[in-house]
Parts: sequence; structure tokens; C-alpha cells
Amino acid sequence: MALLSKKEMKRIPIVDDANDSQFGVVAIDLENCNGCKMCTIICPCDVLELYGPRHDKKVRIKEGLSMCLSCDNCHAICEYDAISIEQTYNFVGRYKQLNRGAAIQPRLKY
Amino acid sequence: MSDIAKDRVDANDAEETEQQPRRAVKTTEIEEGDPWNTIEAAFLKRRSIRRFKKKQVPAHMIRRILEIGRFAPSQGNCQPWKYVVVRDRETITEMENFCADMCRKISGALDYTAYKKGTFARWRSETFLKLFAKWRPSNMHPVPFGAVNLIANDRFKVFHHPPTIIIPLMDTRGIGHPEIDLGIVGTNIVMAAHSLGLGTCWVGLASFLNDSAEWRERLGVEEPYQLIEAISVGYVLGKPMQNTVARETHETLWIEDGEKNLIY
Ligand SMILES: Cc1cc2nc3c(=O)[nH]c(=O)nc-3n(C[C@H](O)[C@H](O)[C@H](O)COP(=O)(O)O)c2cc1C
Ligand code: SF4
Ligand code: SF4
Repeated sequence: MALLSKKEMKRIPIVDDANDSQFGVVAIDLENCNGCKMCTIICPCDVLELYGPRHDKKVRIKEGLSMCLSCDNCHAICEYDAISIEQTYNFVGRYKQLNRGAAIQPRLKY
Repeated sequence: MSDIAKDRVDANDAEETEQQPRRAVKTTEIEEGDPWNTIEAAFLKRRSIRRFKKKQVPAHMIRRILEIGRFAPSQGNCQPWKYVVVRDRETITEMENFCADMCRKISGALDYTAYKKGTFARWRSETFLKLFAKWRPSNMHPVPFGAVNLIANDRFKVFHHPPTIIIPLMDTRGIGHPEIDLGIVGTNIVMAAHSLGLGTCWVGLASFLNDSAEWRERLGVEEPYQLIEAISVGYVLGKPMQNTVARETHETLWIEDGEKNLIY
């Protein structure tokens, strides 16, 4: 028994095809975000940018291919609890995520 | 003393022994829901650090970190590693440039996202990628593929300009799966550094250096050793470790009392 077929094991997902590849998605709380820019500096995948008028900047996901690796480092640095991972990456074929639950914070109770 | 034994003693640096750690950790009963202890919290708060201050870390602190590495568990106590420590700014810049150049070459051949769908160029580089993937499928995960392309486009770095790079070299003769032992020694290094307030980042892309005769020579990588990873170390810039992160849960098959249950 195998969780992936031989054919699936050989299939390498195309990264800019939404049917093949889903990258991480962060949820941004525009109320709390004060445009401090920290998350854009820390993001290892260069997916975040600031926008808006000079004194009221907010963060958003850049246009185009966003290859967020769902590390949540943006959440780790944000002092205002304004950003966090909402959806983690997943792919078809060889790199399909198996046997995972949704991303959650460290648990003390189960 | 046999020659083999003498060889080893002679190789040691002058100061070696240290006092015993004060007390062994006692087993403590904890209730469900009790707060994380210091060590648990350290593991939860550690992040990969990719922004470092320019300031060099004192040599004795790096030696102290390596000392914790020395006591990592390994299969059959075979300890299949030795270290290279790079602390010269120019050498680090040259390592960065070499690896970034490799990324540009790979990206140039394989980054099909640079071309419009349906064009010949797009088809050609997708075909290249598929061929390459047959040869080395585990290198073709979209995340490192993305990182290589970002580096090629100057949107990401390889080593992140740290003041110090620790490279644990793997002795390929290690028992069983020496990669595991390298992962453990690296974890010791990373957590020891974290406990001293330093930041670290694993750099798998450093393995490009292993494929270069010139770099193997410069870093003293000889058979049977291999350079498979590097760890950047330095003072943390800003406050990237304020909050813990969310991560996926993993299926766990729990076997107890003759029953099998899946938990997450
Ligand atoms: C073996 C290994 C190799 C890695 N290689 C790289 C690398 O080349 N570049 C990089 O920026 N991060 C690298 N990382 C860091 C991972 O991206 C990071 O651990 C992951 O995103 C989780 O984030 P965290 O470390 O902040 O928890 C590596 C991690 C490991 C364990
Ligand atoms: S770190 Fe937080 S507050 Fe600052 S820009 Fe990012 S989301 Fe906004
Ligand atoms: S989860 Fe990681 S990769 Fe994704 S936006 Fe946040 S910092 Fe960037």
C-alpha cells in the first residue's frame, strides 16, 4: 500500500499553475497593522510589501507569483499581532502534503 | 600510549577540561496545561535568523557553541563530523557570490516561470526541469526552487551576510545515516547559540560549495568528508522572535491498550 501512486511520485508540480501548487497565504489584520515594515524585511520569500499613503501604510501580498513557505516568521516579528499564516503550502504529485492537520500555535492542552 | 592515542591528545588545544554542569535535570511531574519550561520555550521561540548585525561574535562564544556540538548523540557514538568556521568577511562574500552564481545558472536553465505559458522558451525550460527532476527529484521541491530563483533575481540571499559561518562537515563513513547525526550536531549548535542570544540560519544551499573543486580546496573538504549544510551565526538584528509561530500538526498513530488511534 502506498499513499501516493508511482505516477504521482514522478509528478513535479508546476509552481505557477494554481491547479498544481498552492503556496502559503497570510491573513492581514488591517486594523492592527501600523505599516512598521518589519514583516516585509523578515519574509524569506519576498512576498510582502507596504502600500497606501505615507502616514497610513499597510502591508499586503505582492502581485504575481507568491511563493510563501508558510514559515510564519512574519507573525513572529509583528508587534501588533496583525499578520499570521492562514493557509500552508501544498502541491500535487510528489510533494503533496500527507497526514497533516492545519497550522496552529503551540498547544498546552489537547 | 599507542601512536593512535597519542595522535589525539597532541591534537587538542591547551585548555580542555571544564567543571561539571552544576546539577542534572530532575524529572518533574507536570500537569496538563502547565506553562512551557525554559528549554521548551527556547525551542518554541527559536526562528531562522536572516538579518544579522555586522559586529563579530567573540571567538570564545563560537568555541563554546562548538563545545555543545561535541556532546551531540550519534549512532554508535561515531561522531561523523568535523567543523570549518569562517569568520573573514571577504571569504564569506566570496562564498555568497559563488553560491548566488550557481543559483543564477540553475535558474537560467530551469526557471520556466520567466516565460509566458504556451511559448517555445517556456516549453523548453519546463522540459529541462522535468529531465532534471528525474535525476534529482528531491531537489525539485517548489520551495528551494523558488529560493534559487529569488536569489538569481537578487531578492534573497544565500548566507544572509553573517559575521560567522559554522560548517559541520559530514564524514560519509558514519554509521547508518550520518546525515541524521549532522542534523543533531547542527541542532545542538543552533540551540546553544540561541541560548546565548545569538541568531542562526541553516543554509542547505551551501552544498553548492561541495561541488566545486576550488571551494573544497579552500575549505579543506577532502574525502571522505562532504559539505552538506552550513549554519550562519551572528547577533540578531531587530526582534524577529517575539511571538511563537503556527505550524501544522502531524498525524500520530497512538498504540496503547491494544487499541490504535490517530491523533494530531
Ligand atoms: C537542513 C536545513 C536547511 C535549510 N536551508 C536553508 C537555506 O538554504 N536558506 C534559508 O534561508 N533557510 C534555510 N533553512 C531554514 C528553513 O527555511 C526554516 O527552518 C523553516 O522555514 C522554518 O522556519 P524557522 O526555522 O524560523 O522555524 C534550512 C533549514 C534546515 C533545517
Ligand atoms: S510587522 Fe505587523 S504591523 Fe508591521 S507592517 Fe507587518 S503586519 Fe503591519
Ligand atoms: S509565512 Fe513566511 S514566507 Fe509567508 S509571508 Fe510570512 S514570512 Fe513570508
